[in-house]
This record gives sequence, C-alpha cells and structure tokens, in this order.
Amino acid sequence: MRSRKRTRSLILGILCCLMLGSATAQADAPLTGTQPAQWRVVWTADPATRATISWSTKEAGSSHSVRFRIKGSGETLAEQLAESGRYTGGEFESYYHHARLTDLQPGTAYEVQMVSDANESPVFYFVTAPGTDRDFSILHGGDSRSDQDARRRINKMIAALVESSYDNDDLSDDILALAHGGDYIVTGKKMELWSMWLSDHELTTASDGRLLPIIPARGNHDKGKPFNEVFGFPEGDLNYYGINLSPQVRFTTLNSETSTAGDQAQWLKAELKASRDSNRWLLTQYHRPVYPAVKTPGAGLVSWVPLFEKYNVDLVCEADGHNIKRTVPIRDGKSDETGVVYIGEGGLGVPQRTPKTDRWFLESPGMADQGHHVFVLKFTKEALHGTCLLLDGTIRDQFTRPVRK
Amino acid sequence: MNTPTSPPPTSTDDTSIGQAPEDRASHSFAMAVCLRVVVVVQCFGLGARYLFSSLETESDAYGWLYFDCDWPESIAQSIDNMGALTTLFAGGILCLNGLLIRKPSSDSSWTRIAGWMDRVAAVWIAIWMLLIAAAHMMRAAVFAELSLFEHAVRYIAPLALAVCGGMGVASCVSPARTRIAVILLAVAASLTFAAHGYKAYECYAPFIDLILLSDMQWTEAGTTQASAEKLLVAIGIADILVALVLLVFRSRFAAFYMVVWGLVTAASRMTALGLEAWPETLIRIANGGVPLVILIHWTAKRK
Repeated sequence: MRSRKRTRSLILGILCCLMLGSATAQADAPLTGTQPAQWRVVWTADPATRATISWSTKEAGSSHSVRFRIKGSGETLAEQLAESGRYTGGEFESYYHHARLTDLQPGTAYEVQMVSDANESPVFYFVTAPGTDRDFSILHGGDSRSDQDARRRINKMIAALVESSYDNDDLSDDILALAHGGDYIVTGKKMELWSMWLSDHELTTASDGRLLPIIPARGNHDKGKPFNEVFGFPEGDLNYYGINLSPQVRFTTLNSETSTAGDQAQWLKAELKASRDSNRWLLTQYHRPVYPAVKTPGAGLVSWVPLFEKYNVDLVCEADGHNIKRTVPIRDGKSDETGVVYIGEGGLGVPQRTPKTDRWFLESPGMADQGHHVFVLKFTKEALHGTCLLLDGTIRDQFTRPVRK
Repeated sequence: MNTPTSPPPTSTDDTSIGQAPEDRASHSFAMAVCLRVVVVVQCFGLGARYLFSSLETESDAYGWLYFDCDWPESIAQSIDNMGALTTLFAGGILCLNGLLIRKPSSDSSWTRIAGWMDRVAAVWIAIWMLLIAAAHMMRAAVFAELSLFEHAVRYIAPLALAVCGGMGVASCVSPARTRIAVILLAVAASLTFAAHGYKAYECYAPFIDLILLSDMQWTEAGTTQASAEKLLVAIGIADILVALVLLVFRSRFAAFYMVVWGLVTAASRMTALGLEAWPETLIRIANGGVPLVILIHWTAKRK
C-alpha cells in the first residue's frame, strides 16, 4: 500500500515536473559566438573529489574557464582554466572546453559558471559523490541516437526525476548521476549530430540549475575522435574506467567497441579483484550485450563474463539492442540465483525493437519488452532496487538484488 | 540450359587448348560442384544466423529499413525474414539440383525448368547477399565502408555459379563461361582478402579478440594484445599481398594460402566465441571456399 502511494506520488511528481521543467529549464542554449552552451558534468574519475565541467562554443574564443565555489557558501569564486580545442568531425565548426575540477569535497554542492571570453553561462550547480556510506540512486540508459523527439522527452523526464528525487527526506531516491551505455548519435564522426545531442542533453538540467553528471560508455555508433572530445577523455583514450559512486558502490565502465579480451580484460580482472571486497555493490556498464535480447552476443561473453561471475558482480548494465530487458541471474551459462543479472539494452531516444522473449535468459523471472525508458537503480545497505520507467512514467519492471554475503 | 547432348563448345579460350573435352568437363565439373557446395553452405549459415539458430537475429537489411529509412518494424522484419527464407530456399534448390548433376539429363521440359530455377536461385542469393552487404555499408559500423569489398565472395560466388551455367554437366564445360566465372571469383577473393587485410593491418578490435580468445581457449600460448596486434599487422600485409598476387599472377600458391587462411578465419568464430557461433563460420565459408574453387580450376588446367 505504501509502495503504491509512493509510486503514485512519483508519477505525479514526474508529470508536474515535466510541465514545470518545460517552462523553466535553461535548455537548448543557442550555439553562437563564444556564448557557453551544451553544458555538462562528466564523471570519469573519483567523483567524490573530481569532476569535469564541459561546454561548447561556436567560435574558438581565447579564454575559457569555470568559476566555482561551494553552493551557498558566499566564498570568493575560484577559477579553473579549461582545456579547449576544435571538435573534429566534418565541416561543422564548434569548440570544446573542459575544466577539470579536483580536490572537491565529497557530497557537496558546487556552483559553477562557464565563462568564454566575456560571455557567461547561467549559474548552475552539481553535487559531488558522497564520501559516506549513504543510500542513493543513479539512472542508467543507453541509445539516444536516432529519435530526437523521444530523446528530448526522455531528457525532460530525467530532469523531472532528478528534481522529484530531492523533494523528500528519503536519501535513497536521490539521483546522483546518469550512466549512459553508448550510442549517443547515429554517426559518431559527424559533429553536427553530436552538437544536436549536446544541446538536447541540456534538457537534463533541473529547473533549479542542477546539472546531472554523466558517466559515459562508448557505443558502436560512437566511432571516431569526437567521443573523447565530447566527454573530455584524453586523445586516444580507450574509455574503460572505474569510479566509486560512494565508498561502497563501485561502478565500472567497459568499452565493448575495442578489444575486450586483451589489455581490457586484464585491467577488468585487476579492477574487480581490487573492488570486490571493499564494496557492497559492484556494477559494470558497457554497450554491446553479452546476453542480448535481439542480437548475437558480443565477445564480452567470453572475455568478461567469467570475471563477472568469479568476482560476483551484482548488476551489469548493457545497451545496443533497443529494447528493455532483465535477464535471470546467470552463472556458467544457466539460470542460477547466485549469478549475475544483466539489464538494459537502450531506450533513451531510439526506435525500439521487438525483443526475442523466447531466449532462455529472458524467460520469467527475467523479462523483455520495448519502449523508451530509463532504469532507476537505488542502492541501500540491504538491497539494490531497480525500476524501469517508461516515457509516460509507467513502471515497466522492478527487481531487487540482495547484498551478497 | 545446356545438356550432355548439346554440341561441344567451339571456343578457343585458353581453358580449352590442349585438353580433351572429357578432361575439361571433369575439372569444370569438380569446380562447379565445389562452388555449388560453397554457396549452399553459405545459404545454410545465413538461414541459421537470421532464422533458426538459438541466437538468430536480424540482418542489416532490417536495421537499414527500420532505423535509417523509418519503415515500420513489422514491414522491415517481414522483408528481412522473407529475404533470409528465400535465400535458404534458394540454397535448397541449388543443393537438390546439385544432387541431380550426375544423373543423366535430358532435354525434357522438367530439366529445363530445373535449370531455370537453378539460375534464378543463384541470382537471388547473389542479390540478397549484395543487399545485406550494401545495407551494412549504410549503417555506421566501424569499417562499414569496406563491406561491399569484404563481402564480395558472398555475392559473387552465387553469381559465378549462375554464370557457370546452372546444373548441367555440359554447361559447366563451356570454356567462355568458365573463364568468366573464374575471373569473377578471383576478383571477389582478392577484394575480400584485401579488405580483410586492411582491417587486420589497422588492428580491427574484433580480429584481436578472435586471436586472443582462440588462444585463451585452445592453444593457451599466452598471447598478449601487443603480440596479437603485431601478428595482425603481418597478417594484414600478407592478405593484401596475396590478393594482388592472385589477381596479377594467377598464383596457385596465393590461392592455396587463401583457402587455408580463409577457412581458418571462418572457423575462428567458433574457436573464439564458442560452438554456438557456428552460423558465423558457415556464412563465411566462401572466404576459403571461393579460393578453393579457383585452385581446383587452375590446378586442373595446369595438369
């Protein structure tokens, strides 16, 4: 009964925020001159103390920095210079700017303002990952590449979800970040498409100016240099990394679009080995599914799955298939309650495929369906609760994973 | 359709010089049978991948129609299924007609219909394979721009079979047709190897995984990613070289290398990804099968 009430208030909250958000969110800033636009916060390393504040300008400009301070502190604004350059990818000309903030305080709200030449962005804020073992939530989704209308609506829904998650005293529903499983646009080498995605991403900004940090994974459509330039990775970076979302939640992002078996598998083994004992929750995300609902399995099935099972990863988030799925817990290629659950397949703005529900790993208690969606993953000390929300706010799936003993 | 009762060909093509008609018939027959087997196996692999294996999926034709052309999913799905089903059926026709090759044929209307169906089936397979390659090229995958070259053996093998003259023994000995078929096959094999060679040279990530995962599960030599990448560069150069040598010098050694390496790389899908990946191996059978057809022809010609 209580959970039904909560669900109803959540849906009402989403609808209210959707209406409110569309009126007040500072989104879709025009990309002109050196006016900062396409703002985003990226988490790729220790999000409790570090964050990359990124934005774009149409023209190169000469001076780019971020002013920041602890929100409401009244301190003098600090300034961090940005690394800048022209996005590669076709004729479309625009410039990226990445200000890397370090030595931040955990679980703290920071005001940020991007400045390019004399042009200032609105003042936003973001919150660093907690330094204490508290309950919280994150969002996971993927594939926002080829249905712009749905993508924009999903982004507004995300902004609404974030806002409503802070409307109560329940810490566990506070949404800290969005993990994106890849395939942001159709053709990763076309900066024009990236620019549209980046402008649409502004819609995830809450009406009070809260920026939702993104944890990016590379998809098969995200080939080429722009991906690293958009998310502030060093040139040539292979895009696999692990971060702690809290002292007890390790979130590992893998890259299914490069070799899965070589150096990356070695790295993953060391990463999981080092993380398992010191974290209550161990999650991974990557693009190409190993237990797919429509396609054939990626090479990760052989390269990574034995490691997921050996180190008892709690949840694996995938994308690429354009549908909704949650597998049964899997170990040694068969259903096993002690095994690993795989969710996702991507619905942040892409036409949906009809899943092949007769595949053994999707049969009940697993599930598969289609629909634009985002997963809300709630981490508590007792359990990991997952909810798949459709674009209209309907809850399509809910699951719980207990803490491994 | 030509039949054993047809008059012997009068071409002065080099395939016929110095050879008795029986010899020509014999080696052209072996070549045609091999080519037919390759195409049939390939069709079976395609059917498995897109229709009936435990992890059947949709082809790029579906993806292109649904995601890039905004067609309704049900229509894209139906076209994709129909294409795969028709290709499987066409492969069945080729298989059935192949079994009839050794039986004496006559100039009956049934034989004519069978021969006509044979050619239609081969042409359909070529068209569908070409469409899938073209659809893959339209998608945004890494190296998708190479797919028409990469898949050349898949759509040129059935085309060569159609050119070769269908099911009749006598038709296979037509020197002009045989010559055209072999030229087509040599060009296809060269294009496929050159494209794969380029991807290998560029250390295409899935190729690295094929080496590393095969090693991990079978040879256990402890190959590192750096070693695999060096190996791939060498493989890539070798592939491009044999592609050139095959085309320019008509080298049987190059053809032999292609047979072995083409079959090894097709099989690597299973050695790396597990036996469940068998459709991936079968659909690539032409990688080694087409050079084998060429090798059979050139070896027989030399004898």
